[in-house]
Parts: sequence; C-alpha cells; structure tokens
Amino acid sequence: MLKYALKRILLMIPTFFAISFLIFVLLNFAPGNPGAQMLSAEGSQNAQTSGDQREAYRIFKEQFNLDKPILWNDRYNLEGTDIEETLVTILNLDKNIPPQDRIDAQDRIENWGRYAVPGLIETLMNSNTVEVRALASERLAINAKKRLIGQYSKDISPEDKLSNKEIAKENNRIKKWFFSAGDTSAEAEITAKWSDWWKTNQDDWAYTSSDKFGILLFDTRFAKYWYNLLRLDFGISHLDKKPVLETVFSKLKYSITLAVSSVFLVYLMSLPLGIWSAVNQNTVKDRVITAILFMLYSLPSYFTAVILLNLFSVQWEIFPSIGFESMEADQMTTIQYIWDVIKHVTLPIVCMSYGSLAALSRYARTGLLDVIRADYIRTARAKGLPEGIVIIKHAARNGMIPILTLMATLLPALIGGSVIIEVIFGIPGMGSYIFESITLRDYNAVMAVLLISSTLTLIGMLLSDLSYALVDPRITFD
Amino acid sequence: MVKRFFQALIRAGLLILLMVLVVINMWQNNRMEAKQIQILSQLEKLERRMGTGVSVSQSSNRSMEQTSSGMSSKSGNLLEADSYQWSTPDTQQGGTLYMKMSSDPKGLNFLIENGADVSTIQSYVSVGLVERHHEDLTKYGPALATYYGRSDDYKTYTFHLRDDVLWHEPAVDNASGEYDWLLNGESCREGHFISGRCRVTAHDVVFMIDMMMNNQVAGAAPLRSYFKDLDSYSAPDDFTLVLNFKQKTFKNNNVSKWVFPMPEFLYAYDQDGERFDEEIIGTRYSEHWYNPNGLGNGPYRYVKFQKGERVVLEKDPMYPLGNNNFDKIILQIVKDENQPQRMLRKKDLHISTLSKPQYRKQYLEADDTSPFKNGEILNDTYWSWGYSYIGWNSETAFFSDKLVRQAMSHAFNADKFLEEVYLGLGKRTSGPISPDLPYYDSSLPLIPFDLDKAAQLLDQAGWTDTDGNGIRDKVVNGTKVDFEFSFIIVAGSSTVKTIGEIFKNDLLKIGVKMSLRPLEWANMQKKLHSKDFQAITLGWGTSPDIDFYQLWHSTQADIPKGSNYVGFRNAKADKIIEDMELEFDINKRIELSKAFHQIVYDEQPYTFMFQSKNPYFYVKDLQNVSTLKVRPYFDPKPWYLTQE
Repeated sequence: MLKYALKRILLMIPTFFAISFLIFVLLNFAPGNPGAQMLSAEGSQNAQTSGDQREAYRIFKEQFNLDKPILWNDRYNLEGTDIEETLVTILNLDKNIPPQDRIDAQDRIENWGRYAVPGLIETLMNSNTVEVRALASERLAINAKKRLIGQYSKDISPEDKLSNKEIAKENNRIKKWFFSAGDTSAEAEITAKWSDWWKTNQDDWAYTSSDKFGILLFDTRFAKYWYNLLRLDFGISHLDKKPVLETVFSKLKYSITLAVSSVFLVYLMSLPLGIWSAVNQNTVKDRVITAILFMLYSLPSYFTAVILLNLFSVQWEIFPSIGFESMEADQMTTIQYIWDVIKHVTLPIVCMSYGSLAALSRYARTGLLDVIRADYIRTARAKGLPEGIVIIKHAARNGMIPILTLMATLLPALIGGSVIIEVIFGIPGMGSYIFESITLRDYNAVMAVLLISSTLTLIGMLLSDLSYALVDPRITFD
Repeated sequence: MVKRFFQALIRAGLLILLMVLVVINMWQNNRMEAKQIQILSQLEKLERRMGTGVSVSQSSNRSMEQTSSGMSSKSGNLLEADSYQWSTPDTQQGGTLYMKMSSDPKGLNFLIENGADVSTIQSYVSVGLVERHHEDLTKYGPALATYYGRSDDYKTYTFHLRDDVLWHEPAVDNASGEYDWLLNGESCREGHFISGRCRVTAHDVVFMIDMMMNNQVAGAAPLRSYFKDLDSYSAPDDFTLVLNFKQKTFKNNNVSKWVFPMPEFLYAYDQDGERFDEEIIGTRYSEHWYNPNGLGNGPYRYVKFQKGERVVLEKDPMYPLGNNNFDKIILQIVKDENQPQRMLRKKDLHISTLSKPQYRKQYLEADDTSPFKNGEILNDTYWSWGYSYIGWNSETAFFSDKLVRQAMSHAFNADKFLEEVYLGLGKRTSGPISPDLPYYDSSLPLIPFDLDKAAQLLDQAGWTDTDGNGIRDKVVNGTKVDFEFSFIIVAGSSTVKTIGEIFKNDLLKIGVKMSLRPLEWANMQKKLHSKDFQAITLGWGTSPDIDFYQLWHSTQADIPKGSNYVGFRNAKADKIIEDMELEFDINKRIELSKAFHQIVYDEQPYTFMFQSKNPYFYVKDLQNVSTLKVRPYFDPKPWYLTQE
C-alpha cells in the first residue's frame, strides 16, 4: 500500500509538469494580450497611442517576461539584416506595408530587447537610408538600456542598490543618444558616441556556445515561470500587482464555505433518500421522488436563485439579498458573525446543492441495489435479522463505498467555485475571480488557479483510489 | 447485556456533557468578545471627539491666515466662483447613503487606476485643484486652488493652493504599532503636520507629476500621453505650483487643470517608512503596499474596501469646503444587473441606474402599484458624454466615395431604432460633438431615413445592378465587385444585433448585401488596428473640452493602432483642427468647430447614431437629487436623507 502510494506520488510529478506545460502553452498562444487593456480599453477611447505609452507597455512586458519567447530563445542569432528589415517595416517609407505587419514589427523590436543591440549598431553604421539610421539610434537608446537588479523583487541588497545607481546613470546617459533623420551634424556626433560605446561594451554580446545553450532553453517565458514555480512563487497579478497566491487564499474563505456546506448538505440528504428509494424500489413512492428529483435537477440554478431572492429577500425579508457578510462584520462577536454569514449564504448554498441532490441520491440508490441481491444479504435475512438492520448495517455499508470515494474527486470543486451563483449573490469567490482573470488574460492568476486545482484533482484521485482499499478489504494494491 | 447498555449510556452522557460545556464556553467567550468590542468602540469615539475638538480651533486659526494671505490677490485669476447653490434651506445632515458600484476596483491608487468606478470614488474622497462649474461647462471655479493664472505667452500656468486642506488619516491597521511613523507624521514635510494629519501642499502635486511622467509607472501612461508638451514643473513655495509647457496650444490649457495632489508622505515610502530610491521609485509606486486602499483630502474619508462587497467612506468633519451631508457613504458592489431593482425596493440601495431590460420591466411595463410607479421610488435621467456610430472604412472599395457613405446614412432608420430598440433613451446627433454644446451646428438637419434617396446616391456613385442578380455591382480596378460587405458588431449585445438585422433588411431592399459579424472585443480591436474591416459599430466617450485631433486629423490615419481608423483625410478639416489648437477665443472656436462639423456632415465618415440618456432611480427618502452634467454624473453633494 505504502509502496503503491509512493509510486503514485512520484508519478504525479511528471504529470504535473505535463499539465503545467499544456496550460502554459495554450494560454500563451490564445489570442489576445495581457495588458492590452493598457493600450486600449479606456485608452483607445481617450488617449493617444504615443511613444510614451509604448514605453510603459514595454516595461510591463519586461516585468512579466512577456517580451521573451514562449518556449525557446534563439535571439542570439539576430543579425543586422533582421533588424534593418524590421525597422524598414516600421517606417513604412513606401506606404505599402499592411498595418498588422507594422504592429508586429514594432512589438518584435521591443521584445528583442538587448539581443537587438549588435544588429542595431550594425544598422546604424551601415544602412543606406537615413530614416532607418535615425530609427536605429532611437531604438538603441531604448534597447541598450540595462535592467535594474531586483527591480520587481521586494528586497534589494545594499550592493545591488549601488550597482543600480550605476546602471541608472548609464541608462540616463544613453537615453538621449538619438537623432532625427536629416540632421547630419547630430548624426555624426551620435554615431561616434555609439561606436565608442560599442567598443567598450561589445563583450556583453560575445556569446560562447554554453551561453547560447543557456539562452536557448532558459531565457524563455516557460523556463522563467518554472524557475519561480519551483520556489512556490506563482508571481503577481498583471491587474492589481498583488501576489496571486495571496488573492487565491483570500478567495478560498468564500468558496470553501459554500462548497463544503453544500457538499455536506447534499450527502446528508441524498444518502438516506437514495437508501429509502432503493428499499422502496419501483413503488409509486420511489417514482414520485425520482420525478421530483429530476425536476429539480433540470431547474437551472440562476433561475432558482432569482425566484428565491424575490421570495425570501424582497417579499419576506428573511435573508439579505447580497454579499457574504454585513458591513459591521468586523465589529461582531464570533457567534454574531457566524449567524450573519449563515443568513447570507443560505440561499446560495440551497442553489448550489439541490442540483447535485438528484445525481447523488441516484448513485446511492444504484449502489444499494447492486448489493441488496448479494448472497450475504440473503444470509443476513435468513439469520432472522430485522430488515432495518440488514439494510443499514449490512447492505448500506457496502453499497455506499462508491459514493464515499466520489467525495475525494469533489476536492478540486472547492477551489473551482461557481461563477453564476457568485455573481447573482454578490459573493467575491473563486469562480468570478477565474472568469475575470481569463477574460483579462491575467496569465499568472489563471496559471495559479488551474495548477492548484489540477494538483487537488491529482491528490483527490489518489485519495479516492486509496480509500477503496481502506473501506473494502478485498481490494489491495500489493 | 445490561453492562453494555450502561456503557453506552455513560458514553452518551459524557458526550452530551461535553457538548453542553462547549456551548457554555462559546457563549462566555462571546460575551467577553462583545464587551471588548463595546469598550474599543467607545474608546474610538472618545478619541475622535477629542481629535475634532482640537482641530476645530486649529482650523479656525488657519482660515484667518488664509484670508490675510488671500488679500494680496493676483490679477488675471481664471477661476470664477460658481454661484450654483448645492444645499437648500431644508438640507439635513447625517445618515448613511447606499450607492451602487458595478465592479471591484483593482486598486484605489487614483493615478494608476483608470476605471470609472475608481474615479467616482476619487471624486468623493478628494478635492481637485479646480472644479468645473455646474451649469456653464466652459468655466472653472476654485477648489483646492484659489488662484489659477496663465502667462501672456500661454505657456506658463500658476496655481495657488489653500492651506487649510489636510490629507485624511491613512487606513492602516496599526495594532502592532508598525505604522507609527506614518500616523505620527514622520514622513510629512517639516511644519505641515497639523492636528494629527499631513497638510496638502504644492509638493504633493509635484510628486503626482513626478510619478505621472515616470515611465516605470505603467498605469499613468494614458494620462502621460497628454502631457508630452510639459516642459518643467515646480513648487516655488509650499502653496504655489508652476507648470511650463513647450508651446501654446488649447490642449495644454486643458490638461494643465488635470494635475492633482498625491500624498507624498505615503506613496514615496515603503512599509517601514523608508523613502524609495530614485531609480526604482516608479516600480515601487506602481506596486505600492498601500495601493489596495485609497487616501484623499476631500469631503469623505476612505475607511475600508471589503473586496467584492463594498467600499466604505465616512464624512471628514474637518474638510473646509463642506457639502458633505452624509455621515457615511457605502458603495455596494453589485455585479448582477438584476439585483439593483431588488435592493432599491428594500432600501439596500438609495440610488441606482437600472439595466435596459430591468428599466422596461420594472418601470415601463409595471402597473401602478409597483413601488417604481407609486411614488416610493422616483426616477430621473442624465445624459452621458459620448455617441455611438457606424464607422465606414474609407480605404475599402465600397466606402471610399462619400456618396456611398451618405447613402448608407439615408438607409439607416435611426429614429425607429431610437424609439423601439433604445426605448427612447437617447437623442440623435449629426456630428462628433454633443448637441448640448455651443460647438454643435444645430442648423444641420438630422439625416432622414429615405431608401429612395439612398438608392439614387448609390446610382450616382456608379453602383448599379448590371447583372440582374439583385445586388449592385461596380467595376473596381478592372474587376467587377458585388456590393457585399460585413458589419462588425460587439458580440453579446442584443440591442446592436437587433439594429443590425433591421439595417441588413433595409439595405437588401436597395441592392446592398450586408452580413453581420459579431466579434469579441479583443478580436474586434485586432481588426481595427489592422484596418481589416469594412464597417463597424462602436461608441466614443467625449468631454465638454472638444479636441478633434486624435480622431479626425489625417496624420492619425497613418499611425498603426491610431484612432482615426476609418481613414478620414480632409485637408480643410486638418487646417481647422490645427487652427483650433491655437485658438483661445471662445467665439472663434465655436465658428471653427461648426465649420468642422459641416465638413464631417458632408463627408459622413461615420453614420452618427445616438447620445444616450440614462434613467436612474432613487428612494423617496433621498432628497434634492440631481446629477452632474459631466462624469462621474452622480455626486452626493446636494443630496440628503430625511431623518426620522
């Protein structure tokens, strides 16, 4: 058993890696950009798409490694011709380049970052077109900037702070080294500056083959993400710039309350109901209950929610209509607080429970029917045991095994939440959080939630397999 | 057998005893907790009373200084006091106002969060330098600034600030004393820590501009792009602010009023009270530890934000400009569009807008016993700034000719759509300017629905049905093209879809085949950026400060992702736009704007649709309800609650 469990746990590691790889790739290749809102949404209504705004977007991409290629990075191969071609596309001097290509080119040159510097220098020195040379100088002033050390981490060591001062000084020095097309004296001066700069700095770009290998595999979005993941760092949200994990945990309070109590309620009601129907199999009573349960099953929860709200909240004013807790929650005693929360969550829990009631009580019914015809039941009855004892003690115990093991697979539902119920009842749980994160392409948040819930699924499946062996001595993994 | 029975009995007894003990324990704990909370709240009240007591005398002192310094008044103050009366003789103080917010603010740093909800909160908790007049939208009155002047070359703008406005106390939990540095004013500027709070100075505005101009502050990028012309800015003394722009333009004149103070004593410091290094202050500011909370200097103080539930504001009794009638304002977060009507009935909300279907159901189609009809819940409307339109891509073969675009406008049954689909909630506009502004040329008639005229215009433009297939065609660049185009609409909007379907049928009657293409916003944007569309319907938000450059200047048609994506190019219009940039005389601006309006009207780059009217509902206890003519529309300044 222990050996089996260990084996399964070890197997979970490559499975987890494969899952994370799949989610990551799907997410990153999906259309739409994170932070696109920054350039549009409100922005497209009011602001101009200016160089300034692009620069902010570039910094944003840099912070979240969105400027890096997704899986492998061969940017050490960039040559002068690649760069020149890109600059020509951006400039659109012949006015015949489609806008989408120009947008892509602009993104490309930004994303290349410091890898583009040798090519930019080459273009600056050798290009035949003056506009291209001018743009190359403009790009150099941005692309040649060095990143500050630990700019996005919480703590910076004093030495790093000192070197940051140096880097900032250098970045400020080269910031103004560009010229506009046609200004020949400025061009001569600036070009000379860059050529000196290149002489002293070009060693930064002299890659050895081991450097290249490292860049190829490790300077990518996926590698950076995994590096952080290994330290259990799920990153920060693009939107509120808070650690994703912190937000997820703060949402768990709501989702777990709802999920645990509705699961509890469902089990509490559906097991006896299922057993009762099994005992009265094919009688009128059984048929009526089945019909009612299937009617409930087919009622959509958003519909029921509205009806319940109108009745219990508006008409009779028994329950509050919105929220998880009252405003004065922080001034309440524990008991008052619990009572307050119970009043708020009763309706949502009812909405979340009644649907699964039907499914689970059917499972219980079938489970019992499977065993009720077994030999040992006949033996028990033959022994003269009362029918109640036979059903409860002998049949139900074995019949309910599949139902109990179902519970383990419900584990991920704890974190999944329910979008519709949460929106209608104004409960800030996981469901609406995932939904919003996906629509706004908040990669880190989506990754974190999906990874956590897939881990829970893996654990849940392991637990349910193990629980088979625990409750049924006939099953063994050795 | 008997023994086993007794064992079971004892076990049960023990269990019951244990449960009773647990319950008693909980009950006792609860009573102690209740007492603790009571004592704490009493202490808090006491503290607050003492705090205000001290401050009242302080503030009266300061207002004396204020008047004496105000004596040496400057000439050329561009601010005029607004004569509008916010309060009535019946105005009552007190009560808690419940309002609706439709989304969770991502954060409450007012510079880097640009959502509508966040700027609404900002307008309640802070006071800006100047304030637009309530009636005459071209005029500004004093607020935090008492003086606002402009140099003769129109490049330098000077503000003088009041010296009696204080920052609210930051909303931090100082149980362990870790924020002593903040609450004890250690980070305030020397001499500006007054009655336990930091004073608002011109340095705070300078700090805001520092952050706005810092490239590391991504959230400020939209605002930053308006300040490209800002040359230098400084605070020569604690209450004077000077902005220098590179050139004289009307736009710079507008944006000079957009700066506001940002509490430097808070945002320039890390959690331990240490100032950030200059190199990384932008990044640190963007991710500042206080960003989930808000801090202002205005009528209401930010108290707390319960994620997904509500934002709580309370009256600042020391705020010198008044008009804060409520003790508390609760901004309840309501995401479900069907909830507000329920909450209005229960007075869980005092005032709220309703979605269109709810407006129809609860109000238009309700019988007279409904609280929405019987006087329990009253209603009114406000106009929002902006207009909806259909944009015709003039770089396509179909819409390069203005005759075709005019024909399209004639085929668009705007009056019918307004009445039947929009439930009459709006008015038509004939150009990109709000009909309420003097800049709008009202002599231009709204284009009537006239299919014959549309057909005639298409004939003139050379689109005729030569092959008898019922669809007009024309030879373009040597090949025959049928007039078939796709119309991009936002996916999921039923109103736009309805309009599209009817429009499609009307067009088919005159031999034009249109297909509807619903797209999600991200994909729609991609189409716009790459100009890969023929026709699209969208809306623009506008403001009373008209500026045509971004949308209509021909240079904007050439930049990728530019806003002039329909490719409107008109030399005369360009000239007018450039002239208006430099024109400060209001009458001449009106003249130029009308001339521009006429060109756009003739060219019909868009088929202009509607400016929308928004109904809102409020419970009858809420008195003196009116809305602002500009965003955020809802301002509780004049409102009050009748007290029982």
